[in-house]
Amino acid sequence: MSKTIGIDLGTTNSCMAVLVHGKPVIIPNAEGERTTPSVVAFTQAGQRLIGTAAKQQQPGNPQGTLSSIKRFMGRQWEEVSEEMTIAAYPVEKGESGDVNVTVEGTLYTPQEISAMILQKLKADAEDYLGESVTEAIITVPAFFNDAQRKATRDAGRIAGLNVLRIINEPTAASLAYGLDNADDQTVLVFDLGGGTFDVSILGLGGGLFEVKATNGDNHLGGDNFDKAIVDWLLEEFNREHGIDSSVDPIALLRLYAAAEKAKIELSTMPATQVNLPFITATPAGPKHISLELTRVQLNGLSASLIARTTNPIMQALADAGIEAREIDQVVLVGGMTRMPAIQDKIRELTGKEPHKSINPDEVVAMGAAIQAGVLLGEVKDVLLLDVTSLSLGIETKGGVFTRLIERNTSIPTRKTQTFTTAEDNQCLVEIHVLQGESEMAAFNKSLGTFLLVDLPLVRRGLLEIDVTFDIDANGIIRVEAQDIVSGNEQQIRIEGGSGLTEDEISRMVKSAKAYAEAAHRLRELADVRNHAEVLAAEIELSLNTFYTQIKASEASMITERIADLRQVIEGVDVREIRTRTEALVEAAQVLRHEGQAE
Amino acid sequence: MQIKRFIYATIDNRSGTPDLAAYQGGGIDAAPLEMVSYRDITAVVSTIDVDQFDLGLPGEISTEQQADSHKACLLKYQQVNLFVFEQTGSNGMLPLKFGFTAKNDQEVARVLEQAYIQLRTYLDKLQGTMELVIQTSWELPKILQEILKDNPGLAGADQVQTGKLLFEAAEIKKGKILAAIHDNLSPLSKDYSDAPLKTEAMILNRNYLVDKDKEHQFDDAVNVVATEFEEALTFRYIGPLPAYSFVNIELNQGNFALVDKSRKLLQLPEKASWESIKSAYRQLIITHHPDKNPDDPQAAKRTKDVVAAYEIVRAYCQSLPGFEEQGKSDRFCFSKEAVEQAFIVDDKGAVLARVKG
Repeated sequence: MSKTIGIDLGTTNSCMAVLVHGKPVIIPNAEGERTTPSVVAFTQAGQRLIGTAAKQQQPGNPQGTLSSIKRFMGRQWEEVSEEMTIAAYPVEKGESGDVNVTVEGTLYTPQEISAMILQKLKADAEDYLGESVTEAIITVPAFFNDAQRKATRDAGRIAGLNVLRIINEPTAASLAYGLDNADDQTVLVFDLGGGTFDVSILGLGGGLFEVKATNGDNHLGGDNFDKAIVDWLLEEFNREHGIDSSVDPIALLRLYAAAEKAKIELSTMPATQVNLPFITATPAGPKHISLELTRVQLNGLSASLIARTTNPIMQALADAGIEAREIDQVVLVGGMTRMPAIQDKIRELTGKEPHKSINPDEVVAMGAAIQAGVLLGEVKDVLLLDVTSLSLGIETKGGVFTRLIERNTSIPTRKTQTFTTAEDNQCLVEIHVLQGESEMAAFNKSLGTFLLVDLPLVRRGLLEIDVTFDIDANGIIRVEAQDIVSGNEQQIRIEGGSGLTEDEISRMVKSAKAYAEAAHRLRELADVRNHAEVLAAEIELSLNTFYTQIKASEASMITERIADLRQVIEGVDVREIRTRTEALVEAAQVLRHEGQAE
Repeated sequence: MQIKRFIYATIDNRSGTPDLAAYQGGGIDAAPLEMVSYRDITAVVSTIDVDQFDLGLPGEISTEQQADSHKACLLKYQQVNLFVFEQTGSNGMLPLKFGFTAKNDQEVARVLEQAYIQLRTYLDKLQGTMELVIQTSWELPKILQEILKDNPGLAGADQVQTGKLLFEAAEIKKGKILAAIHDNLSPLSKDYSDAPLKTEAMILNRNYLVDKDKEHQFDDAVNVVATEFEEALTFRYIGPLPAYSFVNIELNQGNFALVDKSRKLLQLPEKASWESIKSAYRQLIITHHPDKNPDDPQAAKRTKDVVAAYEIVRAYCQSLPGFEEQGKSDRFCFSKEAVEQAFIVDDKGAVLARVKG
């Protein structure tokens, strides 16, 4: 049986874990890192890089390097004005109103880019585990809407993963913490990642992890803090030199990289130096940035960002029906929670010392691995009861959003409400399904529309139309409408919203698979070449040492075969390299005996 | 400190709204009276700190201080409603059951929206009406003496037998009195309902719904019966009042069945603490959740039923003024009376679906 892994597909970094003997273990990537930068790059040479390699070459290739793609997942063009100011790569409006990126003339959806990251994680996990990985649990911010969740699921499918479930990041984190704590308690999870802020309140007890409320800010994350520092650097630079560098994409990327580094350093140090030599060139010569940034200054720059965490926490507490003092534990998730000012804010709001025993970058993936174990029956005595984080309802007369399922309702759930017609002799009603918290339908996220037709022609207000919302444990929404008198019935499964049709997904699955095969061949070639090169070098060295102790014919045979191998080593014929490597090894046997004899 | 919006009444705003500023002294805690509207219905509300003012459910008032606070609030509620009632004239005014609060104006508006059909129906029904209350008491010893005086033959050697005959005669007399009152007053009313008798001497506590243009006729008829039974009875004639007794009974209909069904599905007793409700819920979820029963196609449905039942029970408990003190044992009572006092807006509150085409 293949393994099921838990994947935290983060805005800036991704992480994966697997259950080993009932305990979650982080799977390192092929580079040996425990987290993988969520960056995909397309080089001028046509190479595709993912992870650290992609991130490192970003300053030299700003247009071809896609970072923080998660901010665009399942989003509509109109929703991402704030995100666009951070992205250095070109984004454009897709056909279905979603957000696309163009690199080297090719158009990609965010789902495809995310799938590339997932594909790398999948391949690295397979190498590490030595078996195939076909199933995964992927986490998303609790405040992701249906379209964003669907987009994430689609990304998994494109990457060749059967996504068993999409679960909320803070919920996953609580699972990772909860394993060893069996007492009844109320936990607040504070999750400030690269691109999103989530807060969840859970009740733990008797093995049940019950999400009571979630809230968050889909536009608040570490990227915003970096931007605050960059803005400050630009302003200082402009004041000193009268130069605005904000238009130079390469300079901007270097500024972002420096800002992130400074931010991380200031979590442990009171001050740091930002040095960016040759940030720009003027007729008077090159200009450099060399500025000191203190923790106090950073706190000032990010005060308004930190303040934005207050409202979601208060709202979540109110929704959960509890006071801050009733919180027993506070769990931190996301690299941003290392910032002392953030931890101070949490202490101020909750009066509790936050838990830090699990690495905030890894805790979500570990929780996802546990949930995989729960679903496969490997983990007993744990059950996650999640909630729908946004209200669901339909549009009613006057463009009003009428909720059927309130946010923070436990799923699975089902709810029916009776509606009636607004006009005399109305023969059809349109059921417009929406998700969101605004009282007006227009400000909520539309999930789909369907019609209930052939209604009996009667006076308004007489018909009874039952509208039923059904959400299963996977969060998949189904809406039914039935005219009680005639029994007419219509239903939809909410499929739309992610921006991808089934055809598009299967096309992407195919191309991703083809790429994976090509990548596999390339990796195999690289491995064979490496092996051959190292071997040839080693044998050459031995030969130089021991040639006096073997026959001249044997020595010349070895030399010949090294030359033969080196002739094909730069080629692409894996089999030929292998054959010639084996031939060399065979010829070099005599050297081994000699080496051992000595 | 727990700030909520206390709702006194809803009114039909099609012919304007009353000048609430004209009411001296404001609502409970002297808070200014304000209005929240949805379509042609307006709610009269004021802000209340429910921690400070005990709106307590009947039978739950324990300390003297709470009782006093409750009484003061109730009085204010009645005064405000009387003022609104007088101001709205014959436009239609619907007093809501005492103690109904909402979190904020949005929630008030949502209640109006959800209960719109019922509210509209009641406003139409109550338009141009008033409530008049007749409380009738008798002095039983005096009645018995009168009976004995009229029927000397009843007094026999056997005292027990005499007493029995006397009481039977008294019952017959009471029946006659009530019939006379009914025959005189009921034809002049649109509707009537009986309230519980408050003292041993009280034989009738009846609320009449009377059209405003029949008020004088009704007054005269009350005078007639009062004069007829002047010797034996005392009449209390109260009103005109807002039609307290002719609303919100039906607004709550169905809720008890719903709450009761949900309570039973969660396998809870008739009185349950918040902790025991949560624990029963958790146990059922763990038992039935599809993640724990991957091969059982019915598991999802059972879980949904448990979740739905819990939502209803929770909504009911949260609607109770004592919810903040959750955890007290036997705090939440699921009896019919308690549930019907709670005013949860019925799910059947039909809203108008959007038209297209």
